[in-house]
Amino acid sequence: MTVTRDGLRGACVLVLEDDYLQASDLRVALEAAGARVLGPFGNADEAAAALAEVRPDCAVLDVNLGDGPSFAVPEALTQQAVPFAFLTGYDADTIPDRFADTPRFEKPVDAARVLAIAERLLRGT
Amino acid sequence: MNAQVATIPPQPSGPAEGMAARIRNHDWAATPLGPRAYWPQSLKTVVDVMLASPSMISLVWGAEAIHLYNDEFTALLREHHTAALGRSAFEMFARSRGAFADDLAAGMAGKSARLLAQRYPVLRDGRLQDAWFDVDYAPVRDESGQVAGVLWTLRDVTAQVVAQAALRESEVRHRLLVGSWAQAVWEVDAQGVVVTDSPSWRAYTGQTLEERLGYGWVDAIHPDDRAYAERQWRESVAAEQLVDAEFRLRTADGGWRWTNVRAAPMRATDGTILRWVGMNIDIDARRRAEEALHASEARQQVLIEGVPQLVWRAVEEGRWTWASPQWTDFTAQSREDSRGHGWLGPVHPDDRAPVRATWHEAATRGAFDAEFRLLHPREGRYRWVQARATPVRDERGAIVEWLGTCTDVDDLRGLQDRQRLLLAELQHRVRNILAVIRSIVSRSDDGERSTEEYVQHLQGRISALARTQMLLTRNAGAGINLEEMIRDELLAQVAGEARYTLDGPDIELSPKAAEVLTLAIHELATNATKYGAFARADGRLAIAWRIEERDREPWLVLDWTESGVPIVDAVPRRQGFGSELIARRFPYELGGMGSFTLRPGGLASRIEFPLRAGDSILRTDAIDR
Repeated sequence: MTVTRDGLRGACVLVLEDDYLQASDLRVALEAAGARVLGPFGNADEAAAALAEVRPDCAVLDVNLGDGPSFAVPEALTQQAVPFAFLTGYDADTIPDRFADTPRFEKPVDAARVLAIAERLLRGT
Repeated sequence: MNAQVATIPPQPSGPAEGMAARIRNHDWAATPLGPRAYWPQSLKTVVDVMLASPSMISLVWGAEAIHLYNDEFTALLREHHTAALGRSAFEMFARSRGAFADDLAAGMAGKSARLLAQRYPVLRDGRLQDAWFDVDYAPVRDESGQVAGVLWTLRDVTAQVVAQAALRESEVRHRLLVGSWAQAVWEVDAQGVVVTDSPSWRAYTGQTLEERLGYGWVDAIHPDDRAYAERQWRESVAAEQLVDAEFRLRTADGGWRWTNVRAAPMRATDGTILRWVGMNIDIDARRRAEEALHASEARQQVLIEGVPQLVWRAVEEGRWTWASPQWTDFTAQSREDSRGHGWLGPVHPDDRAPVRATWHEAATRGAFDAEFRLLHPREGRYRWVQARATPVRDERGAIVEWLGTCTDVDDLRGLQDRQRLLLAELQHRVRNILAVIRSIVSRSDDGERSTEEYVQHLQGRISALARTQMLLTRNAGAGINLEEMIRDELLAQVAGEARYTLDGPDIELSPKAAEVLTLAIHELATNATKYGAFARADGRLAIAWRIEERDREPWLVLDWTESGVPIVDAVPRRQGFGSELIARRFPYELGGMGSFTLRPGGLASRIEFPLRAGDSILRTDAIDR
């Protein structure tokens, strides 16, 4: 499935998702829409290392990275004022209060939905 | 004798003219006595004695009962005091004749007598009032020896009679009072030994006098109380102190009733004890109520000390006054140290201020309710407790104190946390699997296979996923045995055991490694069935694995080696799902490597990744904390 979204053309989108298949699907969809993908990263350490060098335009993050909810990356993104959204299998109450205002999308999400989310993040709405 | 008459002193309380003068001046010639000069000497003498006496005296003379009296006597005659002189008593006191006629007759018959405490109205201090007299009468004889008159001497005993009446009244009052609350009243001798009867004791206990005498009364006491009662009695008597003891006493109907015995010594004016007076007060109802109360309190105590909660009492602002033994058992803090705000000591420092704030509002809210952490020295950590208290109010509704408990909710909170985590993990797992399935579905369609083939592929992959999930959920938190997993996958391809060999140590795979590896093995086995070792009669498969130490981490190295397959048959038309899984997914998800090569004899694949405990989609390590 190929979805084109002009709003994403040329944008740099960080993807943090530990599941290879899902990460790969996201990458394919974002690239098809003209975006550049930073990642995808299977763990928070790699994503954090990349963030130290590149500032993406927006990010979509899986909250659960194998060894429990990790909030190091969202904190780094907040510091850099990069808009981001959570993709999560969790209900709201496992996400700390300081991220209460962060957009949250529960899995499974299809490619079209993720592109729409990324576009909204870039528009800041 | 006239001289004697003349010596009569004037009577201060008498009428203006004394009786001596009246008798002297009376016209006796007009009376049966005749002129005084002719009176017999006996009459004259008696009249002289009478007039000289300070006693109340009257003389009744002759068959006509002519009345003479002295000044003292006139009080009794009231308004008749002058008119009565020299007249017949029968005439003068015709109406009350019956009151004295018999005595007068007896006197005239030569008899004498004393009549005690006769009540007569008398005129005193200008008022008529009752007075009491002991009345003596005696015959007076004339010169011939015949009884000629009767002399009456009255002694005023009014004060004595009034005092006696008052005493009697006082005794009655006391007896009524004592009788209203004492069941038995008695006296014993100075040594405390029963020597006299007590009808009330007999009625109360059913003991006869004989049974009670001496120390027999002890037999009426309950056997369990006897030694105590007798000791109390003997000690008090020896020490000359008031007796006050409580014991059970047999009642007339054979039952036992609690009694309070009280006795006090009666002393003579010199202080020596004359005897002891005592009584038994029935306190059965009170004692039974007290016993019931004690039993109730004892039960309550057992309950308070038996419940798992830590129980305490407090006054305003959470100042503790008491703590149950459980508090000391839990916190190792003594009851004394917990008093006041001492109990805040074992409370977690961060929780002290909020708890005190809750206490501050408790009186207004009418309830105290808080959760805080309490140090549990035996476990060397804080445990969560839930504290609750309700106010005890007086009849006006004011709070007297608070009764409270602390309930250990640490395990409960742990379980709730675990449950929350498990639910989150379950949600994650289900949603993740759906996402994986979505991905597999789209990747299984390479646009070249028939629908039938597509469905077959898809089913095989979903079945592999299902097998992994089944194993993982069956052994929640545990790993999966590598060899068993491989056998399951090969079995799913209907490969006979003769076609393959498995060789390697026993290895438990973490859930995540199992999930990734299972799907890879599935793809390899599917490929072998379609194009490789299992597609040909002489094809063979050897799977061997070992553990290697790399950078201080154990790595699993697994070799999949097919043989007996001509190389031309094994060339895949394009790089498919299986090869992507092996080449890309192992590095991405497990930090490992995957490769495959086609060589003469068939496909050879190597999969390598570090074995990490707890590398899990289900965060079992996090759950166990």
